Amino acid sequence: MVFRKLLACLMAVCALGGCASMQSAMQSVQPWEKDQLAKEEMQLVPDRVEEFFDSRVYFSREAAFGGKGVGGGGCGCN
Amino acid sequence: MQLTQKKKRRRKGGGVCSLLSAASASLLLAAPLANAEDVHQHHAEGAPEQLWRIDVGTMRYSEKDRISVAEQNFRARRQLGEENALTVRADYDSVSGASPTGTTKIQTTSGASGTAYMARFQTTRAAVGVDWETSLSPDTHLTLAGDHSSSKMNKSSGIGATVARDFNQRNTTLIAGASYSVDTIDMEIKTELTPDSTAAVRAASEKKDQIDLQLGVSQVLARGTLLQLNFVHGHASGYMTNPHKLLSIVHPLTGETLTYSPLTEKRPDTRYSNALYAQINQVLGTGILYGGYRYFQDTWGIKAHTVDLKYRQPFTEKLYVQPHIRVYTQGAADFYRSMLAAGETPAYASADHRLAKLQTNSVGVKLGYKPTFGGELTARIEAIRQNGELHPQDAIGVQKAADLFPELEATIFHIGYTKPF
Amino acid sequence: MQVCEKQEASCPQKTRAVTLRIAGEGHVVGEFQALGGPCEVLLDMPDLDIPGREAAHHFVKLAAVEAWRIEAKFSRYNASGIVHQINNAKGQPVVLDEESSALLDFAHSCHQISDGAFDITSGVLRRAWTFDGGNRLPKPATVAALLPQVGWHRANWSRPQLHLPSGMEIDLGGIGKEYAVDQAARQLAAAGIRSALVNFGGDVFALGPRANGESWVVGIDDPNATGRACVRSFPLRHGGLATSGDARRFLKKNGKRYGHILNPKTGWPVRGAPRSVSVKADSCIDAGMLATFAMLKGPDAGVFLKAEGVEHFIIW
Repeated sequence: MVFRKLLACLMAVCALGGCASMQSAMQSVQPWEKDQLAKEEMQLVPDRVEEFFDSRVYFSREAAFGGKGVGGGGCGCN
Repeated sequence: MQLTQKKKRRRKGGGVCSLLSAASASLLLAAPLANAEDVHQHHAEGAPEQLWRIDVGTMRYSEKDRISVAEQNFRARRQLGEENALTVRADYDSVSGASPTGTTKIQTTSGASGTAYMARFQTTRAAVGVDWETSLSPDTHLTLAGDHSSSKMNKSSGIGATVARDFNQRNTTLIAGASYSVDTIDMEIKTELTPDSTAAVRAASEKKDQIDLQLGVSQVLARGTLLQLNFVHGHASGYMTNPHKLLSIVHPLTGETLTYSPLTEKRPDTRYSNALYAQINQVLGTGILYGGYRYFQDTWGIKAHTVDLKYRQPFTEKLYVQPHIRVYTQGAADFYRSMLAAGETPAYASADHRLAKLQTNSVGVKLGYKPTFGGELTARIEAIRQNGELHPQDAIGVQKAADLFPELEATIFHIGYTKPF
Repeated sequence: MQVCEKQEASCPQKTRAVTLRIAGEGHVVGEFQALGGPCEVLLDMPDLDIPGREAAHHFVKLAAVEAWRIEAKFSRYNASGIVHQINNAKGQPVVLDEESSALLDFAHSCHQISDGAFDITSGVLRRAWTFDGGNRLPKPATVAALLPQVGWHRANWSRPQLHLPSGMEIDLGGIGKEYAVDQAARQLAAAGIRSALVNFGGDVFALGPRANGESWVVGIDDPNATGRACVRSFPLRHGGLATSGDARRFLKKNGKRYGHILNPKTGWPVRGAPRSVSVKADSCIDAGMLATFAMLKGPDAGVFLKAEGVEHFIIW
C-alpha cells in the first residue's frame, strides 16, 4: 500500500516536472494571444452545476471518486 | 487647509506646480490598475462589470426499476470589488425507489435474475454551501469553501481551502488545496458480519472523517490548448460500512442459499485513496474538445480508469451542441464477495455491487442556447449503462448460473439557465 | 493594412472599434473614438508581422478599454455613471467609490490651489452661455440667477460622501480626459511598454523615447488657421503635454472676444484670456491643470507659467 502511494505521488511529481521542462522548451503564449483561452468555455470546469451533479451521480454508483479538486463538503449520498 | 496652502503658495511664488503634482500623484496612484491580461476577459461575454451571476437548474436522474432522483440547484455569485467574490449554493433533492441489498435471490437453479432488492424508500436531502474567492496578490488567489448537507439519516459538513498561484505570464498555475469533512450517520446500525435477523441493533450516531489534499498544475501549452494535471490524496476514516447491505450465505459445495439469514456487511474503517487526473482543453476550429482521464487507486484495492470526452461545437452565435462520452472501469475491492460460503469468517466483506468489478458507459448530448432576453439555457440528456460480472469467479455451485450483477440503466435529464447581470 | 474589431460587450449602441495603421516613420498608430473625440496610441514595434500586429492591437486596446471605462464612469450623459448619479441626487448625499473619491479630492485641491478659479460646479453656467462663434451674449440677470448654484465651497465633500445642494451639478470634463491619458499610459507601462505616445484629443503623454532613441514630436494646431497647420512642435520623451483653448469656442460682440473659459465667481468669461495654452509637465493631468489655471489667469497667463518654470506655448 505504501509503495502504491509513493508510486502515485511520484507520478504526480513527474507530471509537474515534465510540465516545467516542456514550458522552457516552448514559446510561451503572450497576453494578446489569450483570446480563446479567456473564453468561459475554455475554463477547466465550464459548467459547475453539471460537474457537481454528475460527480454525485457517479459517486453513488462507482467506487472511485474525486480527482478534479478538493471540495468543501462531503456528499453524504452514498 | 486653504490657509496653509495659500501661505505656501505666497512663500514659494511659483509653487502651483509642486502643489499640483502632489495632488495628482495621489490621484494617479489611487486607482487600482486593472491587470493587463484581463482585457480580453473584461470584454468577453458576461464581462465582470456584471456583478451577479445566477445559475438555476433542475435535474432528474432515473434508473430503470430502481431509484430516481429529482434535484433542484441554485447558485448565486456576487463580485465584491475587484478582488473578492462570494458564491452561495443551495441544492435540494428527493430520492425514491429501491436499491439492491447485495444478496442473491437464487435458491435453486431456476431463477432468472439473481439479485435481491431492498424495500422501496424515499428520502430528501438539502445542501447549502458558500465559496469565498479572494486575491492575496495579483497572482495569488484563495478560495475558501464551506458546505453542509442534511438528510434524515445523514449529516455532512465540510470546509476547504484552495490556493492558486499564476506564474510565467499567467501561463502556468500551481494549485494546492486541502479539505476536511465529517459525516454523521444517524440510523439503526446492526452488528457487522452477523446474521441480519439476529444482529444486535444499536441506534448509533457513527462518524466518518475525510481529508483531501490536492496538488495541481494547469499549463497553457499553446494558444488554444490548456492542460491540467491534478493529484488528490484522500484519507477517510470512521464508519464506512453500509448498514443496508447484506451478504448471502450459501452452501460451500452446492451454492444453494441457506435458509438462515444473510449477513450484515463490514468494511475497513480507514481508506487512503489517490487520484491522478489529467484534462486537456483543445480548440479545434470553431469547437472545443475537452478530454479527461483519471486513474484512481485506494487501500481497499480499487483500481479505476475514467475517460471522459466532450466536444462543444457552436452552430450559430446562439446555439451550440455538445456530445459527451464517458467510459469508466474499476476492479473489485479486496473484500468484495458476491456471496459467502457458510462457515467463512472474513475480517471484512461486502457484496455491494459498487465495489465489484464493473464498467460504466455514458453517452449524452447537451444543447446550449442564448435567448434574446440574455443568459444561456442548456438542456442535456445522458444515458448511463453499468455492467459487471454476471458470473463472478467466487460464485459457488448453482450460483454460477445466476446473474449476480444487477445491470443498471439510467438517464439524466437536466435543464439549466445561467445569467450574469 | 487595417485591423478592425468590434467591441460589443458593455455598450451595444456604440461601435467601439480599434483600427491600426502603420505610419510612414515606422511606428504603429492605433485609433479609436473615446471621450468625445478621436484618440490615438503611437507604438514603436520592432516587428510588424502578424504576431507583431496582434501585439500592437492588444496594447492599443489596453489604452482604449481604459478610455472607454473612464468615459462610461465619469460622463455626465451616461445614466449609469457616477457623475449622472451625483447630478441627479436632488440634495441627497452620495457615497463614492475609491477612484471617484480620488478624483474629487483632486478637484478639491485644484479649487484650493487656484483660489476658487477652477471649479467643477461651474458647468451649470453653460445653460446661459453657448459658445458657437456667434454673438448672442446672455442677459446679465440670467447669469446672476445661476450663480447661487455655482461654487465648490457650497458642496459638502467629506470623503467618501458628497452632499451637493439641490440644483448644483458637477462636471469632470475638465479633468477626465487628461486623467484618462495618464491612466491609459499607466496600463501600457504595466504591460511592459517602454516606448509609446498616448494622445486623447490633443492631451498627450509620452511613455519614453522612440525605439531609435529620438523624441516623439507633438505639433500644436494654430487655432487661428482653418487648416491643420502646426504653429509649434514639442519634442516629447517622457511626460505629459496638454492644451487648453479652442478656436471655435468663443463669442464675439462689438469687436470684443469672449473666450469659453468662465470665471465661476462672476459667471462671465475670463477677460483677456489667451486663445490657447499648451503646457508640458510630468503628467498629462498636471499639464492640463496648469494650462487651465493659466487660462483662468487671463492676461497673466504667460507670467504665471513663467513663474512656474514650465515649458509652455501660448497663442493669443
